[in-house]
Amino acid sequence: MTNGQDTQGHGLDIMSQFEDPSEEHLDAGQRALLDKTKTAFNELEKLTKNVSLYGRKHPSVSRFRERFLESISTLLEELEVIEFLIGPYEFTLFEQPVYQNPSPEDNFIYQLYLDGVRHVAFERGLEQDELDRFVDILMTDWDDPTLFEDDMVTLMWTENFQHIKYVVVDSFNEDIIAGDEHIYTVPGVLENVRAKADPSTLAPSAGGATEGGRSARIKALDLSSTTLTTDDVDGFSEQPFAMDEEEFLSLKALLTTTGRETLEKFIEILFKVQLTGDEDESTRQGRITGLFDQISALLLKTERVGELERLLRKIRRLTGPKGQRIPANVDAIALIFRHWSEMQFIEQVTTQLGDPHYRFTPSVLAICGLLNTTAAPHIAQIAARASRPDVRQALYDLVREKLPGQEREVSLLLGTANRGLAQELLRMLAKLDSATHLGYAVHQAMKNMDGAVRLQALTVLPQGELQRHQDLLFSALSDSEKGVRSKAIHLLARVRTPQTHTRIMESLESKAFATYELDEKRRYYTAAALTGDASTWLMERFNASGGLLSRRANEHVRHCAAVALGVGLHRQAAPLFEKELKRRLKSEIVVEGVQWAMQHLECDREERTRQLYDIFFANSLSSGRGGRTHG
Amino acid sequence: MAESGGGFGSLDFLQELSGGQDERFIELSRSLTNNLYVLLRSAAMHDLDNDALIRPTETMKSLVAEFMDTYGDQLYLSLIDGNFFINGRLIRLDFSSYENTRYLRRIFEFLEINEFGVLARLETDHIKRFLRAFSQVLNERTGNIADFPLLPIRMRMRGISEVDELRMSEDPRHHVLEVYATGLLMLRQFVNDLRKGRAPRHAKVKRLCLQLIDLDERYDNLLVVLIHLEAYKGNLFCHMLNTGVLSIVFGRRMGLSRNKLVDLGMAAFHHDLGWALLGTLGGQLEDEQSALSMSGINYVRNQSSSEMAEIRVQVARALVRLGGFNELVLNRLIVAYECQIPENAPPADLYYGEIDASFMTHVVRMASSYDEHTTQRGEHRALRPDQAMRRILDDGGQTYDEFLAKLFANAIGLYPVGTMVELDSGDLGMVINLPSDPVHFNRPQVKLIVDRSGNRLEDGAVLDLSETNRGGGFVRSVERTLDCREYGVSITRFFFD
Repeated sequence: MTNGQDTQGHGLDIMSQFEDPSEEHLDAGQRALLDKTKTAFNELEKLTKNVSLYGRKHPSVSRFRERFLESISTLLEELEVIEFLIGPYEFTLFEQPVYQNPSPEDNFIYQLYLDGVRHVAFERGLEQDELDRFVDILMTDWDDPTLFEDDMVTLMWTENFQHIKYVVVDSFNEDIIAGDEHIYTVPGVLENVRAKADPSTLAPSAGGATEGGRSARIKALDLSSTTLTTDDVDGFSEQPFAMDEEEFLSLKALLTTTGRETLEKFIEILFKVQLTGDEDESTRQGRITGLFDQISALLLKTERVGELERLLRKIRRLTGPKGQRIPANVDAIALIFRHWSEMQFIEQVTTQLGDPHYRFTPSVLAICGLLNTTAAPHIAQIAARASRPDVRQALYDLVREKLPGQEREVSLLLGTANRGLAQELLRMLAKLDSATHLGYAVHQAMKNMDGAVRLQALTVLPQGELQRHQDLLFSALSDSEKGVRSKAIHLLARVRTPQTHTRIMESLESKAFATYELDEKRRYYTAAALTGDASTWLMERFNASGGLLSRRANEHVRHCAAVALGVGLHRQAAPLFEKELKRRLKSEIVVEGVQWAMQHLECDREERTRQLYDIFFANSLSSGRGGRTHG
Repeated sequence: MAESGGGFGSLDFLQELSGGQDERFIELSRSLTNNLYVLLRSAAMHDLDNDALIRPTETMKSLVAEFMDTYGDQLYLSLIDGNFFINGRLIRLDFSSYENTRYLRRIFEFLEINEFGVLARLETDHIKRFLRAFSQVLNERTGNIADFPLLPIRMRMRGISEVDELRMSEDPRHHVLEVYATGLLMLRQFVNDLRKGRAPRHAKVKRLCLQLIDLDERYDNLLVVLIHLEAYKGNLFCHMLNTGVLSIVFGRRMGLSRNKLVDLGMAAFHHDLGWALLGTLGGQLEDEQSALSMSGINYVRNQSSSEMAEIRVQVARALVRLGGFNELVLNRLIVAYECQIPENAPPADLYYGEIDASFMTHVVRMASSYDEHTTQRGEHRALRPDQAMRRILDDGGQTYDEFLAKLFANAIGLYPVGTMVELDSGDLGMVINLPSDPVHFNRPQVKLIVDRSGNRLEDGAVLDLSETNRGGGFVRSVERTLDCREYGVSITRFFFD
């Protein structure tokens, strides 16, 4: 034994004879062509990468498509046709690889090879559309379940290319099983095709007992070797077939009629097929929904939205013979619609609603309309994203129709809804005339991050129901947004109960309150005055020298106390006010509050109401003369 | 193809099961090919006693042993059109294996062989002997390795196969025959795969359909003739093919588009396929094999019309469980469902509402019936082609749509290809083509085989019976039809010998 040294010495030289030929044996013209071909395939590579990244329809892809065609067209300027050999991992020209992909995964070369395509040729006259369709086949997503009986060859066949030719080898050999009976081999079939007639297939009675001598004589002839001649075969021509007009119209009508019924039939068969079986309930249900999902996906993929609409209608009204109800059908129909009323299906159906030229918008809206009421929250979300106002409104109309029974589910959206959606939903829910549903909705909306939505939510609370929602309003007093707090305090001002009054008074003592701006503080004091008798406390506050408060904070407190005393019509405070006005060193803010309170005490009811309105909705105080006293 | 959960794919586990076996076959094939290359390269580079050969020799022995244990006791590595196959199956190569096979391909070419066969398990001596022969041919550049006694290794230049012979032939009959023969075997394999729980290869069935559609229309007559290939008639797979062939030929003559023809052809292939998955159908059939024969299927189908609705649903469900869903499946399922009715019964009461059977169902039923009528069934002798056509045409709308039955006869001919006729002139002949004029669908083209005097004609004339004389009358007409078997004539042999 020897170790692994090359003991023959010339072994490597010997093996070199088995290497592929290099480019060196090509002439200059071939080399130039090879270079151009490699350039073309580089363009293909860029194109396929771009498609992988952005999808077939992305605008950037069309530029790469054009460049690939240009590079192929350059080749076809020199040649009428250019043909490539396809190996498992490469396209070759003149035995030289022009395009390689060494991975067996996501590799269209390997797929072409496995499917038996061995040559592909481009012919002069190739146009963009044809080349695009070819590239699209190369980029096929083989996980698509609808392609379960397709391969590269069947897809190319379907495209019926005019300037792209391909050569396919069939692997029917794989169907010939080693050791199988001879009859089930190609030679076996050929033998049987060429076998003489088998008289054993004749019935015993056959033989023509009544036949005369001529027949018997002919039967005696050996006709077994009588065959067609090559000339006979050469003489075969296509036998045209023509119908008369009546037949043609009848056939056309038959095709159209039965074609129209396809979906109806299919559904009925599926119901019969799917509703029986010995599997457990959940398996059966999964099978039904999975199946109908596939049907809808197919119809959507092939842009047959109208048919999908028809399908839903058909399922909705499916009955048994003579219109009788079949309980199993009813359950299955309910299951399908329950399933399709979920977000996944609705999103699939409505994907293209944003396209202003989308021709199936009416069908999509009709489909949404056919769904269960449980679809309402999902439709609402789609509506919120809809860019077309008319479509958005139509979808909201559907939500409104489906809202009864779905109030809580729809309300849940308010926690995250944008302003537009929240506004629509709150408007719808407010019209329901149900304090329970509305309260729930407002509660949800108050969880929304957007203060504007929270504010909207408070605005829909009915005036007569405020006490019912006082807890919610109390919470809103701690809201991070001034607008929301202001709205809440305004609403609470109308709930004149001791509880409300106490809660407001607590707010006045809170740490956060000290950070509020003057106008907001004024609202709280005003609400305190409107919901209960706080005169003593207010007088104390007005007289307070400030204690630990800063000068500015003290002025705010005294200003607000004066306003609140005015709002509460506490005339006993008038001497205090007058005394304040006579002070030598006066605070403008406090004086403003005092002056306002004094004039407010003299106003009639109507004017007082107007001024209260200004306190809650404007940032300034207004006097009886209509002028602003403080900004 | 992968299925999403809960859909059609109740039989998807078949894919996984056979997928596992496939994986090992692919790995073994790849390893064998790689190892053969390594052996040959090592033999070229080293002395045959070199340690470098020990490992590839041992590997080769164990790979061959495993292959034979699992996949049969013979192994053939063939080079066909530049591609390597093991036992007829294309080897799925990874990139590095592919690089090796490029060398191996050139080595095969150098050795002037296209097949490396192993007929029994290998021992070290077998491999050494083989490598010695290779080394000798390589170094001395004389002799042919095929001439060395290397058994159980056999290296040879195998002649072209019968299929390739047909494929390469200029005679159009051979091409038609190739498509039909390979299609027949493929469909048999397809049905068997289903029965045995192997993943069916749907794409192959579709490709067969496309091939039939692509056949030159000049030779539709040859395709129709093959429906009369008796040895296979009565089997489900043959019935699938024959029904498909006749449906496609009819559809083409009706001017259906390519895509419609695919739809029709696939529906025809699948119309009775559900039976292959039904087993004995609750004991109604004697054995499971009966479900693979038309006699077994018809036995159940014709037994009780009251149970027909249930059978229809079972067949349709079986088809659904085949897995896969696309546009074609819709029509295929409808046709399969609508075709499950007793013989000679109209397709009525199929649906809750008043919906008739589809166009495709009518076509497939006529094609199916034609095939069945021309098949011997137990004591019932097979009808002649014209008798089968008469059955369909004279049905009077009881079983088939009357209008379509007329079109069917017009398109295929009242005397279909393969009908032996006696003319009013006393000549005997064989109908060899479809009618050229649908108005005269009873006036086919006939090749004479016996003259009026009763003499056998070596190369009789071809007559078009729609030919008229000066007075406008037909020159010849069919007087009666004959059973060609009584005259010792095989229809397929007549056309294809």
